[in-house]
Amino acid sequence: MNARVILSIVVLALGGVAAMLPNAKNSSLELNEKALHQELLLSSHFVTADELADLLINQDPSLQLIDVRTIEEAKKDPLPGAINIPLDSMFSPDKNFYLDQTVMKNILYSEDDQLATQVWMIARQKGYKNNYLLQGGLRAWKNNIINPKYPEQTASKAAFELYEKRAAASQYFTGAEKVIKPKVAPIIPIQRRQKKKVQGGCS
Amino acid sequence: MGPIIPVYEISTELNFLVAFLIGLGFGFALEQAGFSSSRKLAGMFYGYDTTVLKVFFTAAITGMLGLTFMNYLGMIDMSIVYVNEYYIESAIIGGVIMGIGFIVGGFCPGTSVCAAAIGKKDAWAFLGGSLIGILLFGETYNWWKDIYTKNFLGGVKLSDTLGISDGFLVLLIIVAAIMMFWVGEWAEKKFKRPDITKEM
Repeated sequence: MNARVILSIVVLALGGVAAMLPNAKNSSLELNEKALHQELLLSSHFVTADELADLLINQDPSLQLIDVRTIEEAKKDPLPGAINIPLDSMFSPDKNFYLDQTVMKNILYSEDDQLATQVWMIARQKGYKNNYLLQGGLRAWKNNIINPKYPEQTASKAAFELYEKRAAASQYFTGAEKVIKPKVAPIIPIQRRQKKKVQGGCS
Repeated sequence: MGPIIPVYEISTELNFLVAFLIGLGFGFALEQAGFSSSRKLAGMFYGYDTTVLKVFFTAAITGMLGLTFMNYLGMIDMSIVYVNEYYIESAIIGGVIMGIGFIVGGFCPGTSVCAAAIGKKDAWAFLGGSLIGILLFGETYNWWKDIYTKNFLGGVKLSDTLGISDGFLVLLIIVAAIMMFWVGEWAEKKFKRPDITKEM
């Protein structure tokens, strides 16, 4: 048989098979259940209240805070610069672009983790990137940044440093009258005689 | 089976390297098929040489079959495969200009680069003309903007418009292509000319 005839028959047969194949839908962008679970375990999608305070104070231009609570709740105590998109309208075509983008760093928050986590999971399954969660939600923000607790006297040095930082942040976000001054007498450094360096020799 | 190369996980440089290699292959295939000869290309219009039709439809069939089967096997994500966007007016006007340029100049944009690479002077002139055209279009874009962006339909697929499955469209195009190949071969015999590969 002529090579052209054979080729035609082979290609036609392949076409026939192709016509019978179902329309498979693969999406490398969408995460499967396992990958999503893994990401949740890694908790790399969390932004802590302290990190958020840093971003806000440094006025990171790529930061976009998104309040996912209802409009009434969001009006009461918004974070600076936050926009409010309630959960039910979050994935509507005219709001979708806030989540489905690659430019801004979205930080989702609600009263606690739950509501925002729902939004984050849906967004992640749709393959959207650059979305993060405020760890502990607004509650953590209020407890840690706005009203930081003075650490115990026996707490580590790091805890005190963190407190100072948080107190400063609190002052930044609430105004100067709320400064909480620590009531601890400053420790006077003990003067020690300095050892004289060995002179001469090979030094 | 996952995707062959996860596009979002390779760097831009590597992406360009892959594009470069594919481009080399494409250029080699064009040259090897004899597309740097404008007599061969113009033959399509007069019927004495239908290599253009055969090469491009073979490429289309191969690509379509490959994509269909790889999609079925989960090796490619068709949702991020680029589908050329469709502007009705632009497509018609552009098609007419391209067709006229093809028969007058004796090259299509890709093959002109091929022919220029092997040092054909007419191809260099063609390429220069293309670049001047691009420059003029860019500079006068505001005049054409309205008609250029009119009736935008997005990245529509023929199978979606016809309401049939992608696989069935592949079969239809294969049938059409095979019929065209037979007609082409017949035309080549009918409008036969003396050996065109020899330089005059």
